[in-house]
Amino acid sequence: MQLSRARRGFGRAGNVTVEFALLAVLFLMPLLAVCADFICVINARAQLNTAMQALIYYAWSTGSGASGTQGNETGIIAAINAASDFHITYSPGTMKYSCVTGSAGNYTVPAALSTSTTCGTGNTLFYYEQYTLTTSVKVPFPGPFHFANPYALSVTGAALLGHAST
Amino acid sequence: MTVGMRSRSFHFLLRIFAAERAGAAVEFAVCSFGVFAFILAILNLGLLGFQFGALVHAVQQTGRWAAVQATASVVSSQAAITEPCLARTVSQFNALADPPLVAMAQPSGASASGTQISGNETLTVSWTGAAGSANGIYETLTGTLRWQPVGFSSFGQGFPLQISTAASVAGSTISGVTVNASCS
Repeated sequence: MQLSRARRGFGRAGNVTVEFALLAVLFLMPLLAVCADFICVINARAQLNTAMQALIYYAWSTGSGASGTQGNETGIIAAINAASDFHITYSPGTMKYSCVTGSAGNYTVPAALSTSTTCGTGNTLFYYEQYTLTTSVKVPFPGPFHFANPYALSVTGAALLGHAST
Repeated sequence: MTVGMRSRSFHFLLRIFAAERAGAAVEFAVCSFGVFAFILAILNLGLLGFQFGALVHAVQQTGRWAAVQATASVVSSQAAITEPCLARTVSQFNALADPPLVAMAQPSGASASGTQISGNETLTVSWTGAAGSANGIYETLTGTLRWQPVGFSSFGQGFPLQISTAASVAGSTISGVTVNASCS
């Protein structure tokens, strides 16, 4: 059956509006919701990195771990947790070492850290303290395709504390 | 009005409603609210990243600045720590967070710790610890930004973004170091 021109016109009017409404509900709104989740995760990541910087600064400024004995980093993390919305978990720092070639003012960049304190001839033993921090964040719009809820984050960093005398 | 005139008027209105030429414009007018709101939301996300980056940077660097200021006093006097005043800390924060964040008003008084609130921003500075203790003296600094998207002023209370750090004063774990009562 052939529709009249007027009926055809009425039938088409509003198609774009309906399609946009569908697109908004099925695509645009979920996209914005995921953006909100991203904001929460980025905030948690920034807090974790800031806490790691604070720990490394503490290690530098107090010489924590330089002699093999660790300082009281727990107190620094507790202070940050008391002021923050996130709860950061601190794993006690472990002493790490690397054998570096070169001489004062011209040391090479260490390739990897290890627990070995023995170096060959011509190498200098460098001391590090390595920290690992973890936290989790509850995302406001959890879904099956992006972040798990809660979403776990961790960061590892090492503070160079000094080196053996050459 | 005759029956014939009513019939002509009806057909005239029917032609207008059935016209397809302006249909796209009308539908665009309806949909444009949503489209522009979505574009504005994307722009807001970029603005959020800009402001949040400034907040993180300002909190980290202000914390370090304050700790180094106190450390410098240890070096110069060899035995005393002087914590910078809250007013100077806020001034430093303003310099580091400018321009994306609104400058905070300068607090009065000679206190090193305190909270300064300015619009959607809050800066809390707290000096704690004791000289000679395991942690020594450190400053806990928290910056909070209640981020309000542009163009969505009625959209709830905004997103609360917060960054905290703790900056240790070098040399404060040594026993015998004294802490000046007043800031400078």
